[in-house]
Amino acid sequence: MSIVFFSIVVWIAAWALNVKLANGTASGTRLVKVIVPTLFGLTLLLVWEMLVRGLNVPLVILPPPSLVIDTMADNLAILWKDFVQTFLKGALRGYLIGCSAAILTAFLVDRFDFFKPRAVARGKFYRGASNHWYRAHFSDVVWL
Amino acid sequence: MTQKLLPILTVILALLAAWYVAVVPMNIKSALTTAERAGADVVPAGAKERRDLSTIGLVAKNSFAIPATFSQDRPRLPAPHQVASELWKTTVEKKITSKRSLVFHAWITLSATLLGFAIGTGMGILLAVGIVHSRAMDMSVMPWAIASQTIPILAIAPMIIVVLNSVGIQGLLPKAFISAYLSFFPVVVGMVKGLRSPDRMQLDLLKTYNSSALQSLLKLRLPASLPYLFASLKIGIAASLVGAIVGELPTGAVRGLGARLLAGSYYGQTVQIWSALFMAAIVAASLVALVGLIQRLTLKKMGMS
Repeated sequence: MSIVFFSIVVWIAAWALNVKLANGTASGTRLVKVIVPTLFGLTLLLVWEMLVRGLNVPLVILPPPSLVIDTMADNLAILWKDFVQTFLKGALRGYLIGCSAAILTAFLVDRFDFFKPRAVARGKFYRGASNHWYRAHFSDVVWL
Repeated sequence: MTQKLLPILTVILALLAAWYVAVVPMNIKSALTTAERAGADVVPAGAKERRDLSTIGLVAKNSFAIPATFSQDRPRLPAPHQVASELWKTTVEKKITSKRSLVFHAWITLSATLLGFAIGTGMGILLAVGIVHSRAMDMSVMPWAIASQTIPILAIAPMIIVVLNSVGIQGLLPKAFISAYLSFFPVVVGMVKGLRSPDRMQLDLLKTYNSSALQSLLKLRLPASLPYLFASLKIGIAASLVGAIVGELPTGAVRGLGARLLAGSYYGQTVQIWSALFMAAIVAASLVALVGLIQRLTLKKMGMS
């Protein structure tokens, strides 16, 4: 139980330090901007570790972060292969396809007034600019 | 109205046409196999010979089989009218208490969605208020809130369900938590921006009135943040629905839209999968439209639109 109590102390101490850093004179510096979130994240991991050990949480329900990191270190080769497969081959390719499709769509929408939302199209109509299509077909119903 | 309707209809018609065209090559192989069994002359003969041939070539050589591709029981890609008639059968023609009614399943998912959306929005607003008022929270929590959204929801959903199940929470709440996890982020980001949207002059004015932080929050920051909040809510409620559907998948649920998707893929019922997908899209669109309506009414009443 003492380990649970200790985790609460750690949390409060780290938070107090963060408050001090964030409101201190060095608050705007890049160093503090990195330290504060890092400290928060590390505290989170530390408290997680202590709670899992202190409360004897079964491994299948929630493993402690130390075990996760251990397993990660043991399986670096496999993880690297997964990274290549998922990120380099899958995600990056999909990102490229998605972005180029979006740019193409944007070109289409910009080129043809037909695809534009009503407000844009109507604005053009009122200015009498290059929108013969609407003028030809809807001049009688445009006010409805 | 007409100006809006015509382009939308054109795009829908184009999509439907593309869908119908795609149905033919997608289903031609199984259609030819069935036709051959029924005694038709297929070029080339034998399913094995056709397996590695291009589908478009097969369509060209066996154009008599094209009508059959639109009416299969378990097509690879169901035709739009098949999906539409399945939707009609499972919504209008079934009692909504029936387990075969999509309305019934949609309601199961919708209830988890709405609960999760409420939890996520509440947490998001609270977190945003904290971030705006505490510099320490702003600096320490915000990067992690962004990082939390890079975790694939499909990976974390089974874990949430297992962990909650071990402490005795079952049923609606685990699904709602997954919904909340997805919907809280847009609310946090939008509300932080919204609560900071009043400019220096307005904040200084309240300071000269000697107003407390709580008074500034209630009388200036919160009202000013509403347009941002509504924009976030529209994203959040659609994300909530996705969360609830994903939450149904790992548990092997038997009820809900996610369960329909799962059962459909187990038994190869593609028409059922597509109709569940369309139902999900219809529900999401209605939810976003509803938030949009509330937004218009509220902002009009407040004189902000």
